[in-house]
Amino acid sequence: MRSGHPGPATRAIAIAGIVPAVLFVPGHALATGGLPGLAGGVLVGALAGVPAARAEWRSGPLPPGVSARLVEVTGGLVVGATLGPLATTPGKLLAVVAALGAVGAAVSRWGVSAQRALLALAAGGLALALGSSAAPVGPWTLLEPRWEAARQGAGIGLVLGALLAAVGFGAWCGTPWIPGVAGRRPFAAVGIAALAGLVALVEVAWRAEAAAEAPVAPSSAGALAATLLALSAGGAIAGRAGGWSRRVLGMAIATAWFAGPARGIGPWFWCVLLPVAIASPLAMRPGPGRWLAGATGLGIALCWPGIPATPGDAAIAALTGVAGFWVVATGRLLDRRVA
Amino acid sequence: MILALLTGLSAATVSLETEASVEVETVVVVTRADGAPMGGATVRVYYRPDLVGQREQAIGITDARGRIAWTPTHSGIARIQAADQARSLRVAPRGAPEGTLGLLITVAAMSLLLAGYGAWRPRAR
Repeated sequence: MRSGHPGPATRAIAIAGIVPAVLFVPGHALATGGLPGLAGGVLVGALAGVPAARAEWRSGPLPPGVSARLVEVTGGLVVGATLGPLATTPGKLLAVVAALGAVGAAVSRWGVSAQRALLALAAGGLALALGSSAAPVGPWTLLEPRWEAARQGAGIGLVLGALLAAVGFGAWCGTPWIPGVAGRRPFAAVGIAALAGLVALVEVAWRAEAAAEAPVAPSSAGALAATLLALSAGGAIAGRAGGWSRRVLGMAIATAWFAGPARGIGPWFWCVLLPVAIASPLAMRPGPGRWLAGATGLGIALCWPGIPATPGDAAIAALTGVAGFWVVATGRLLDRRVA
Repeated sequence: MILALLTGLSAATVSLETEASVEVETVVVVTRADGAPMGGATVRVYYRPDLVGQREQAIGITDARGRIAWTPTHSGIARIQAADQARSLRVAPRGAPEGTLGLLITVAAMSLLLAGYGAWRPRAR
């Protein structure tokens, strides 16, 4: 493994980010606009994300020190933004934090096999959610293509495509590079993430149709799947080289932040802060990464969630971005001093 | 208590005589909380309520028996609004919408193709 490379965490970010984005972002365009957003995301991921990931791989590592801290902070926020809304009571919050600690320790000890087990459990949870919500009605209302929502759908597609491309950067890390085999990993990552998103979208649509209400509350099985995906991402972040306890503590703080004061900034985090954080290291170097960063910027502009509803939410959204920036900046400074 | 009594009396109940299906006529029945028919109530329906592409259709005003005929024009989630009450329901489609089904199959096929290509390991020769 290339030391300090953001690959494992970016892969985890993308896996954790896509399904909750489908399931939990309030009023998300993906469900209200139907399938075109997801189809656009798969196309952007396959036609732009994968080639960009492979070209980035060939042209060498990202600038040292730029991305490692950024990815840790971004990953921690993704895990927090996913788990926070699920931790509705102090007891659940404690349970989530304890699970984060346990998963962090397990992934540090057993590595990829612990993560695979979590991903397999999450896939089972998604399948269970789909099976339990498959009432004898068609899930057509939320899946119906709405071309009047094309602007929002295209934006979400571009952002999702950028996230899927970040999955592709998993090719940087893990097992040694094997020509002709590892080069296909970005394709696999895009396909599997898109399948997970599709299952989640159909499940949400099916449940909404059966209840004749939209939006619907997350199902317990869907929430369990999202929790396991987020824990898997948290494990990948905690399991990087170095101590895992500090990272687990950071993710626990992020979870408490999104469970409490930052509960109302979900759309802002998923549609603006997260894409900016993922695209910024790509924009720092010449090459295809800049095209990808440009596409992400276009996606953000297209699916702009609007000004936060209250001044408090606006302040918290800004504070989240600023705090993330300063954690990254001070971390880099400390790294340089140590070096 | 008087306020609660008045609120209870004014609350209406919206029901359908038969299950709503697209382009099949049914009857919307509006009754008061005490079961008496509510005549003169304005009834309207929202297809895809609170979603992109919401459509509104005025059904009309109920007769003295609190009834009015309605032929749904769009399938899927809908909400009927009558007097101060709303009822969510689902209008059954004639069949799966071809466009949606086609796009669903296309996205699933694209995802499977990508996942399969990425996971396939060619044998070393």
